[in-house]
Amino acid sequence: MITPASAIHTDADARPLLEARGVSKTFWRRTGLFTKSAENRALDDVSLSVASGEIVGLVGESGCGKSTLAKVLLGLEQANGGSLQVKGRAIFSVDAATVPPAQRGIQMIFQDPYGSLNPRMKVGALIGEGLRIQGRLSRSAIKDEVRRHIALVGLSEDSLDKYAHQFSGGQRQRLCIARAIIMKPSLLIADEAASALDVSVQMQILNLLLDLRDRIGLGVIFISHDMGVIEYLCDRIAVMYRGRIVEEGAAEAVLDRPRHPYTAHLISARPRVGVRRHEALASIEEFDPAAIKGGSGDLAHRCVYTERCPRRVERCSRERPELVPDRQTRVACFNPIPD
Amino acid sequence: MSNSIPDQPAPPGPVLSIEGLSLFVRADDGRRLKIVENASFSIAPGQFFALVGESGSGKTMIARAVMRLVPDAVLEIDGAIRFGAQDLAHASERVLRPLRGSEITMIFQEPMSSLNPLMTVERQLMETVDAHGRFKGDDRRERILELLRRVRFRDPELILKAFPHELSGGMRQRVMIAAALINEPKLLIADEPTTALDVTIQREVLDIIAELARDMGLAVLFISHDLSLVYENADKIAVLYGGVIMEQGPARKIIESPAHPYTAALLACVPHRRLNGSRQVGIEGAVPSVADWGEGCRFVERCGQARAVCRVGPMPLFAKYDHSVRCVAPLNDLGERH
Repeated sequence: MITPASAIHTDADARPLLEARGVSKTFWRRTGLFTKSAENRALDDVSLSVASGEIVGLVGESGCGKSTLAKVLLGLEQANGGSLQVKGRAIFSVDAATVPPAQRGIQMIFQDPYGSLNPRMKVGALIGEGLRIQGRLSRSAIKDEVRRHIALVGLSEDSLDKYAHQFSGGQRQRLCIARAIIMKPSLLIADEAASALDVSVQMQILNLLLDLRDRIGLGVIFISHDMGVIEYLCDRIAVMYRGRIVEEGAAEAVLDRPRHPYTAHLISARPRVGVRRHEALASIEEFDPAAIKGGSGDLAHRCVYTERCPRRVERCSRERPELVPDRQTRVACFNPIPD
Repeated sequence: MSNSIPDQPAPPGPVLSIEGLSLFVRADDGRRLKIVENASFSIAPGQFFALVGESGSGKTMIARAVMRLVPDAVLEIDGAIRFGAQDLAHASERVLRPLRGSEITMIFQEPMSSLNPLMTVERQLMETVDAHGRFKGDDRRERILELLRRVRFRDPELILKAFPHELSGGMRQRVMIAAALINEPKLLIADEPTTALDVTIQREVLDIIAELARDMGLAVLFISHDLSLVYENADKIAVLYGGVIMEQGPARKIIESPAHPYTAALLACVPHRRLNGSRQVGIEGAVPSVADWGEGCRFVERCGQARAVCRVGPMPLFAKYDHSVRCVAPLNDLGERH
């Protein structure tokens, strides 16, 4: 499914660094020998753009498709539909060959810095590994690059002769970042990159991402469920729910004047130090996107949030709301929250 | 309420009282490491007590020591863990076994690993009830349904027939809470029970625990790494760093006027909106590992207010009413040195 070009929002000022249009990814699950396979639309017509030097936050609860989107952009999963451009170059589309993951100019860092570094390799080798495999630089040039990047992430040069287990969690995440940016990506995808870290260390990593953004103009997609971190870091926010982006816009607009009921729910669920809540939270819904049974066939033609939505109207269950500009954000809702 | 019943203890007595608790483990090289030092706190009936600390601070070990879940050969306990009149620190298995799962219960971070995937919710809960024999015959099912209703299941009959994989993470954790409370315990130990859950349901699970604590007179020891999360529901907060309780007191005081530089720094780490591109600084350095703990204050390497005296000996304890801090120079006046 491709969104008509007219519906896609593009920044007038510059060509975006990354532009994903109408990306879809459906997983099929066989439920029985003779029954039809169940369809799970992990990504349903997702369009997202990132400018260089921009940090875009991707929020939503588990199972909403955040990580699937990251994998599709990176090339770890293949999309069923839609297209992707990085710096104007077609990465994949319905009628063109796919650019292999290593050549896309996209790198990723993960939640668990303990699980993503080879314990048998010295840090110097770990960071230079990508360049070595690429084989374009001489050994001494790779060494120089490694030294430059270990400094860039705020670690000393004698770290290079150590092993990953000799570092703390925050330092290991720095190593992962060095390993990613040494490949000179246009875009860095950070999937819950600060969530596994101690609160006192988390801020160091967030600030490092801000520094890199400022110094090398890195574009970042920051995936998180922590609205506080998102608020601190991001220029723009996209809110996902069950495979769709339900609201997207400048961080301040989305946080201060959310239009989609789900965005408002996410914001209200955020704990704040020193702010006690006055009214009770909306009650727990006995519904979990990760645990949907059977197919989601009818979901294609209605709003995905209806079951939980306090603002649903009759139209929501028979028509699909498209993501359209609305005041300061883009929102997919027939009955958005008034200002 | 309980005044009329003669064999019940007087209400003000704490359910759990920990006095001068130190915990030791053996390192790989045979060294004896002190992982918790001289911790004291108590929890009254109906009180929600949050023990907050970063990884390696010793919070989970304190929880496990109370339940005596770690074999004596691995974890050495010094000090007193009083549960009512009993000292659990040196109690035998024979004394402990009937208490666990009945008088003292525990819920963990990952509810899926605490539930048997091959059993329906009804069978698992029935097993828990039968293990302690407080409820018999038809009362058992009634008790189970009542608990499921209390953890806010709208249709408990339906939940009874479900297998764990058919439930969401939040629902599983609520089943675990029901299982933990079904035998009317006096103390619930909750070790990061909401960490694996989505933000949208984290706070409601906390609300449920706090509500049940109030309604059932249950003492709750809640372990967390997140000050901002426990703030709303906790009556008291203790902040743990490097095995030492740095500060403890009423939740509001801890958050609104922290006395320990570490508590203050931790609060400053909670990310806010950056106005005009400003940055929050966070805390420099990393949480020290047990082997690197020195003689003095554990926070000294990262503390903005550190002085020479902070590096020597145990830190003094200052206390005013129920707010206490272990620091040479507390950020606000807590009067008496103890």
